[in-house]
Amino acid sequence: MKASILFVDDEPMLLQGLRRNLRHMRDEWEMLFAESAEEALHSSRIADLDAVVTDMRMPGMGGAAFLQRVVERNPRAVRIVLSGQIDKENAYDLIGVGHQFLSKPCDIEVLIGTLRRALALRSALVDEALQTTVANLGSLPCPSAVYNELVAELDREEPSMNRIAQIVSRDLGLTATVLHIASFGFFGSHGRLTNPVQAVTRLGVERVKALVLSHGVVTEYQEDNLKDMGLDKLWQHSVRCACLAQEIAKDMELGKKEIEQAFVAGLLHDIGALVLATNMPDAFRKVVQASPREDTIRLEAERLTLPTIHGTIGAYLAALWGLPDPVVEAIAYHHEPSMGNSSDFTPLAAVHVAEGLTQAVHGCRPDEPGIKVLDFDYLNALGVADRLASWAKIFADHLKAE
Amino acid sequence: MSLIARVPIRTKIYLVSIIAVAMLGLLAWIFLAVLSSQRVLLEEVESGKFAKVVALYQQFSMISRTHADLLDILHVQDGLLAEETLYVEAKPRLLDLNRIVEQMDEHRESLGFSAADAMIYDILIESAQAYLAAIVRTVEVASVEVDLVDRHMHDASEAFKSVETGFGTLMERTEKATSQAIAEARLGAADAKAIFGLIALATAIALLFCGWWLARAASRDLHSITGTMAALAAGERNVAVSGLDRGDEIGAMARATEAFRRNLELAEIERSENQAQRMEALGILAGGIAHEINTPVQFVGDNVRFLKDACAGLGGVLRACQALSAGAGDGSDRAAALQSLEQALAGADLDFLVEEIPPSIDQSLEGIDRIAEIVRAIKEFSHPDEADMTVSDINQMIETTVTVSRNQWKYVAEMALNLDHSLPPVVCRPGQINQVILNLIVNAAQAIEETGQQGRIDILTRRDGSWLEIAVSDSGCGIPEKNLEKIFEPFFTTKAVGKGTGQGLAISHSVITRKHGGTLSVDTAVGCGTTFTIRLPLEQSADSEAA
Repeated sequence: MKASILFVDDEPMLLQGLRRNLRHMRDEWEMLFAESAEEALHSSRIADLDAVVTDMRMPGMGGAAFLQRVVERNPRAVRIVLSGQIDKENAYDLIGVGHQFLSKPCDIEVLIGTLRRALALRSALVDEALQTTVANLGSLPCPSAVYNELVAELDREEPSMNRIAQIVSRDLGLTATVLHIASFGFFGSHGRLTNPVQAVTRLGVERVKALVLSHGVVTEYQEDNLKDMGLDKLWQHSVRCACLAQEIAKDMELGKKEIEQAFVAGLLHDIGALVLATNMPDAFRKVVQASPREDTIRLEAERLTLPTIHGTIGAYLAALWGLPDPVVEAIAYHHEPSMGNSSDFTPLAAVHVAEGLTQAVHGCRPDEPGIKVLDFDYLNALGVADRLASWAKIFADHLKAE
Repeated sequence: MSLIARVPIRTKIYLVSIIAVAMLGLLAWIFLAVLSSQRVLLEEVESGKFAKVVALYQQFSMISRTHADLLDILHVQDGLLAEETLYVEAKPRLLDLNRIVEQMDEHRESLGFSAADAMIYDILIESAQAYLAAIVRTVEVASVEVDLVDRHMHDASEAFKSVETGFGTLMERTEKATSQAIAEARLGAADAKAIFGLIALATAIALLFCGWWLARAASRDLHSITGTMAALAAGERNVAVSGLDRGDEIGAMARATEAFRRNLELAEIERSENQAQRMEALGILAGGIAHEINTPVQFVGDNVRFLKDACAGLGGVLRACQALSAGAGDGSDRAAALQSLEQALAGADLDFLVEEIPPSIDQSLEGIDRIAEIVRAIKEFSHPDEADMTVSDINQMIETTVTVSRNQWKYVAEMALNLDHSLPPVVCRPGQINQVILNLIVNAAQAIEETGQQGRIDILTRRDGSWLEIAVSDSGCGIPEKNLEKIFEPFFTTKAVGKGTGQGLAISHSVITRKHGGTLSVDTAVGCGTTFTIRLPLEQSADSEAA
């Protein structure tokens, strides 16, 4: 089935330019064009659209208000803003309604890539409720210790960007949100970010404060509340995995960007589980109950009880929120790295190894049958299996340092 | 500030000079008076002494001469004289003596003796009378009893001696008194000199003090004003000027300095306000302009990209045509070429290309025109030399401002320009007038936005006698009467935080009225709309032009 995409812009020539350039996508996409938000909302197709691409400022209804209507009538749709300019106050209107912000002029390939990736992962979720959940994510839980530390730092007279970034990069929800909002074109130079320090710097202290305190992108929670979900160890596990993935990427002499991507992917690789647990707790409890183990490896149970696994959910969120492809891939396939489409050592490989090694702490043996904690075929194909021992030592040193 | 500070320095110097001259005059007068009184005193003393001494000497000499005559007479006759002869010869001498004694008594007053001297004089007169009596007796006796003559003669001599002694004493005393009087007069003159010196010293000290005090009072404030000037020169503006309430020249200087400082400060505030407004305007515009430019850049890019792909497709078709044409004669080649042409045609999506290429070229050109127009308008709008008065076309300035601000109004309003193209050029600061027009357009757009409906902005220019009129009208929400008085006040705003600082109309007002000698008025009705009217004088422009 073709994906249906609606483009809205008050400039007819812009729509015509897009139509001419996207003609070669006509086998893959069904494309609709509207010259105003009102015209778009009159379309009978609005409820079953897969994606919407809209301008921000238009006569009559603006982009943010239009997307709000789209959320009401079609909450599953991927919502992308393609605008020449955005005011700061308008930018906050976008939080929660716009998934990604692309600046005009935007390379058509970037637009195609963004839509393709989001749509592919969206269809991988299969379940409409899940698609709705991820596309309209409320605030994510943040451990009270981290939350209070962040608020205290933000309340200081001269908060330190570095300390804020340090605190942010210990929490999944904060890191994902900060990277997401900082990727909005209005906050300075355009481009995808994977470095929480850069993201915090780009946003500035006041905006981080507004995001945390006014927009409530994360909620403080007591760790006990998530204990019955078996998620109380999630943060510790995620931070360990992020650090280890980063060390492994360094050890493999990857580029600076890929090292950052390995860190962020390591931190966020289980964000899908967090999304599930907080937004669909009943479904997640079933998984937990069906799982024979108490640790975070519940793949089999997930496959049995859910339409998809937590990796895909996390990857869809990452793709929707504009995180770079290698991060999306690493989150999606961190349990099944051979599904990835690269034969090089990528952040995916780093996260996979880090995940496998950190699982060992929870009592999993790397060669445990049934659960492929480490995919040795994959590692052999990459020719890095013999380095596992030294990575395990890095991890052991890291644990000691903790 | 004391009374002294209210008196001009010039008056103070006059005053001190007058006091100094007066004091010197007084001193001279005292000096002369002392000198003259001393001379009089000395004269008096000299003349008194002289008179006394002369009078006494005359009387004494007369008594003494008469006495000598009587002695001669008495000795010549020597007891043998007849009564008649004695009388004839002695009587006139006795009468002389009697007259002298009487005269002495009479002249007593005129001799001006002191009390003690007068007593002595009385005794002297008594002695003289006693002598007179004794000598009279001697003469009487001489005619009767010659033997008694010697005894009475002796008595007379004794009395004469006492007269002589009295005269001596009196002479001595008179001399003594005179020399004492002279000494006293000299002493009085010395006292007068001391007083004169003291007064002179006091005057000098008083004058010195006055000078010092005046100099100090003046120099303190002068010093402070110098410091203020130095601080102003160094760029400091928030400095206090002292001596403002003085009434003298320093006060005038302090007030002039304060006025200078205030003007500097105002000029700087105004400059920074203008700068702030410029920055604000640029901030508002930057986003809109980015949008205005980025949209055509997007579709021009898309179209050119499409044209590139289309060219590739058409190129394939053309090459196939070329191959077909080259191999036109040969049967098998022709069939293959035909087949490849058909393939190329099928792949090229020819109908779509033929239909879309012309509009994509047109739209690309239009997009480029739009970008060029905006860039030109930005360049014209920004006018970096805003401080200079230049001959400008108001209509063109309005068109430029409307273009750069398009993004501010196009989502809420239609823009209708009704410009009088016969308007003469105006001498103005175009950068500032652009800011004002931009301000009015942005305000109009915001007023319309508040109504939540699509509205209309009308800009009209016309000539009204010696005035040029620009009217910016909107169909917006209008201004409530209670706000109407305040709209030109700085920092008055009803806009949400971030939408405006409330400086726009205040600065616009100042630019029109103060910098251009015009007026900015408002006519509004709540719910119907608002018209702001700028009136600029054409006459003044002509003058400036001529200058």
